[in-house]
Amino acid sequence: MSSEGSLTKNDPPCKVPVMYLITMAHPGEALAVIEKFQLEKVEKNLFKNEELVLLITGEGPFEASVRTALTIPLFNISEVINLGIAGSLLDDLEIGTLLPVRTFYLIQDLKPSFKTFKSFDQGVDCLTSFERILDPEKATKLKGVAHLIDREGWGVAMAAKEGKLPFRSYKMISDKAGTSGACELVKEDAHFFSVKLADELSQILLTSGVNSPEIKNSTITKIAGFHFTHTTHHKFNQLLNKLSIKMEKSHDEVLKNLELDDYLSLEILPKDRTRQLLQRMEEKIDPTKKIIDLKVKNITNNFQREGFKLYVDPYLENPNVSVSFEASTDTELHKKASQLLNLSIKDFTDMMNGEMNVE
Amino acid sequence: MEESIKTHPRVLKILDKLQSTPIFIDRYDDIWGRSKKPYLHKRDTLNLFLAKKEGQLLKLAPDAYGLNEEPHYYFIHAYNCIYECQYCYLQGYFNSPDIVLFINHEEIIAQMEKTLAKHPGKRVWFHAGEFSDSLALSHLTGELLLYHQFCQTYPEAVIELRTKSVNTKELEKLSPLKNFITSFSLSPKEMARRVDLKTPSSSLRLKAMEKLLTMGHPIALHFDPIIYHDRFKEEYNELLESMREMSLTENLNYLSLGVVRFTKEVFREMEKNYPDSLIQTGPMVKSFDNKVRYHRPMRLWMMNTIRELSIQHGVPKDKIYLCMEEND
Repeated sequence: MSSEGSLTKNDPPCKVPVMYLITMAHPGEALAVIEKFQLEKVEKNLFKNEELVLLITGEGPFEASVRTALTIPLFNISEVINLGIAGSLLDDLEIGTLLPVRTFYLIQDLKPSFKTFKSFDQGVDCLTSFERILDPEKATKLKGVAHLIDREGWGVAMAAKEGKLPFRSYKMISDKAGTSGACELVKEDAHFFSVKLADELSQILLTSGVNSPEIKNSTITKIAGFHFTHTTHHKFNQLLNKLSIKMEKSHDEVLKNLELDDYLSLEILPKDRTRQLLQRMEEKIDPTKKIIDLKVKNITNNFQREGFKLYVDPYLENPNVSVSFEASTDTELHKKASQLLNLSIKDFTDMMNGEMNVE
Repeated sequence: MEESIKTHPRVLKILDKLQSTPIFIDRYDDIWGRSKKPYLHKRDTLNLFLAKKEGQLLKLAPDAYGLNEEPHYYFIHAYNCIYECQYCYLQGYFNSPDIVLFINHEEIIAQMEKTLAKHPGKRVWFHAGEFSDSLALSHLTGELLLYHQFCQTYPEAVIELRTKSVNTKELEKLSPLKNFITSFSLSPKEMARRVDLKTPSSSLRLKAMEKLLTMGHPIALHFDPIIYHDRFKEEYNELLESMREMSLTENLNYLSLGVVRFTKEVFREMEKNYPDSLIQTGPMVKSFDNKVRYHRPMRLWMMNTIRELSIQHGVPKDKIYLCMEEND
């Protein structure tokens, strides 16, 4: 019996909204974000509206990593965005500038750890540190590793990666790392940075298109007169791409170069046309293919005619061939052995040693 | 810069030329290679480390590394390179593209002397440029004279300086020695344009070879890696023709030929770093030694083709060797 309101097999599945997880290290940084996006408190350090979840991770890479990892499964998260302030290790970065982070490094006792995490292809590099870097000498030693230093980004990135979620990070320059009064200065300016970060987040989300994941075109290639299956379609695209790179031409130009009309004039089935087209494309990639195919076919046929099976390495690496036959008496065996004396693998061996006439 | 070498005269010279303030560290490997720095970050955040090489300073070279059965070693004077060749194995070898220059060349030379003593009566080869170009930064590093003096003292030793650079100024200051050989890696100009990023053009490299030859310095050549594209035969023909006109072909100490090849790791790294590279378009397979290469008939056909062309253009047959390929 099914009662009203309960989900049965025929009901459409409930749609859970896709959300961004925004992570910030300090409550002070997050204040304006909470106000601007009208986020409601879910529990301590966790806020949400219909599109966003905001997590205050606290300082320290382990804390950030654990808290992010525990939050991800609670919502239908589509992407993790780490946003916050960072100290600059370089002199020429202007306070208040928001920069995309390229790579996160982790530093412990001034030595970098092996794992690094990517955020953007381009941008600045950021070090996540276990400790606050207030000593200018320490900051100087880190200059060569990255541009910025924060306290949580690496941990958030690690959790996103483990959760198989896309990750990106933006950092606003708050101070120069290694200056003794940096913390006080940042505290004093917390409201200023918070408002700026909230504005920037609004822009980031606007350009990202909340809840509009990219729809990938998965339609099968359609060229009149040709028939593509999933397998041939995949192969066609691979070859087309390779030819495009090789010839430094666009896909359209490559297709024009392949003279498709010649294939259309052939009175054969569309799937056979496709097979011939793919063969032609392969030959353009590998000029030896046609010669090799022919030589392998010839030698295999020669052996087959005499009642032998000949096997060659399909990857064309092993120059040896295997020959097999059946015999039930000594006479048959000796006859086969004498027949073998009239067969040759020289053509194949020559080919395997690169002796080919390739035009 | 490692604190312990800050007063080394060679270091002071480097600093003077660079005119930048160093950051002092205890050991270069406390920082360098400790974290995975993406290879292409070298384009905008390339660091230079000055350090003392500890541990093995010389290593036995792999098989098929050289013309004959003589012992071959390579010495480690630096890690990483200022150039960006798409096929470079350094992109999958170290965890960082940052350059390390080692300054304890005297210790390397002491190791070479010990190695010579292990092979009495034999010619012993020492190759530079396994992990870094051996001439590109030679105007900064200033170590060529030391190795030159070593070759003067030990005629049974041969030093090979492998390079893609045209920075021959330091070399030009030295007298030619037949056991102090500069070998250039060269590709036809179209190929170099597509895969040898940030390197001097092929024609500039040819000019550098010609200049050294005119001065009497022994030169050698590596056609390695040979990469397939539709005009590869014509382009090598043109390149060899130019070389013949400069009298280079008949005066080579040796010519090595090698078709492009990768370890699995480097191939993966290359796919990631250069998804639109011409190299990716060839018919690659996992080969006899687990390296990724063109299938055997194709690579041997390419090798035979270039070998024949080289002979036709005047390279003596016995000066040609096939690099990192089966001996058949």
